[in-house]
Amino acid sequence: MPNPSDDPFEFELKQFRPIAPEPFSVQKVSRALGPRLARMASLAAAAILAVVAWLALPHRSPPVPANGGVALLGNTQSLTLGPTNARLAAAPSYKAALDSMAFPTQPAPVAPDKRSAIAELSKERIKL
Amino acid sequence: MPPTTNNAIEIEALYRLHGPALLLFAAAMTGERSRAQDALHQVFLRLMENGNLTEALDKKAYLFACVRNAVLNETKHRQRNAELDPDAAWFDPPQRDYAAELNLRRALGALPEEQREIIVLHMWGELTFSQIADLLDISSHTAASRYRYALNKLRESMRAKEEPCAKSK
Repeated sequence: MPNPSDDPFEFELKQFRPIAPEPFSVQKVSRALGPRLARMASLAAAAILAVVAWLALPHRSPPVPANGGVALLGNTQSLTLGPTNARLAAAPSYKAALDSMAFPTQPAPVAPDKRSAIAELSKERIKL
Repeated sequence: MPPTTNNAIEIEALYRLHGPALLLFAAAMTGERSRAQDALHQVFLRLMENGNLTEALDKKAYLFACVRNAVLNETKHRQRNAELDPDAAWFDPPQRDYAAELNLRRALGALPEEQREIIVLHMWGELTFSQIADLLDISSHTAASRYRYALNKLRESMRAKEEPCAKSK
C-alpha cells in the first residue's frame, strides 16, 4: 500500500499498478515436462517388451557337425548360397566341403500308380 | 533436483505475488512486454525444474536478480536500449487513464537504464535501497541518490507531457 507520507508524485505513481503476467501454473510445467516423461516411459516399455519377446522365442542352437566340422546335406535340405558359403567357411578343406555337399544318390520313391519320366525316357531307343 | 509439491506451490505463490512487479521490471529493461514475459516464464520454469529456491535467503530480491540475469542474457546480442513497444501496456492505470499510462511508460523509457531499473525496483518492486544495492552491486547511497534523481526527471518529463495536453483541452 502506498504510504501517504511519501512524495505526492510517488503516491501518484504508485496508483499505477503493474499488469499481471500471463498465468503460470504447476499444471503448465507438468504439461511442458509431460511429453518428455511420456517419451522416456514409452522407450522403457518398448525395451522391456523387446527383451520379453526375445526370451519367449524358441532359440535353436546351431547344428553340431558330426564329421569333423562338415555336416551332410539331408534329402530335404536345398543347396542354396547361404548354407554353401557357411560350409565352405567351416570345412577344413575345399574337398571336404564339396564332399559334405554331395547330392543324395537315392531318387525319390515313385508312387505305385505313377511312372518315373526318367525311367520311361531311358527305355526309348534314340535313332540317329 | 526435481521440485517437491510444496516447493512448486511456493513458487506459484511467489509468481502470483511478485509476478506483476517482475514483469514490469523486465519490460522496463527490454522495452517489450512479450520479451519480458518470456524472460519471466523462463526464470520460473527453471525454478520449477531445479527447485533450488530454498537456498535463497531473500526470495523477492533473488527473483528480481534472476529476472535481471535472464533479460541481460537474452539482450546480450541485441541493442541494450530497446525501443518501447507502444501497443503493450505496462500498467493498469487509475481511472482507466490510458493516456497517463502511455505518458508514464514514455517517461520511464526516456530514463537511462540504470535509473529506470532503480525506479521500478523501489517503486513497484518495493525493494529497499539495501536490497537494490545488493542486486545491482552498488552502494545503498548510490541506489538512493539515483532513485531521487530519476524521480525528479520522471516528474519533469511527465509534467512536460501533461501540460501541452492540458493546454489543448
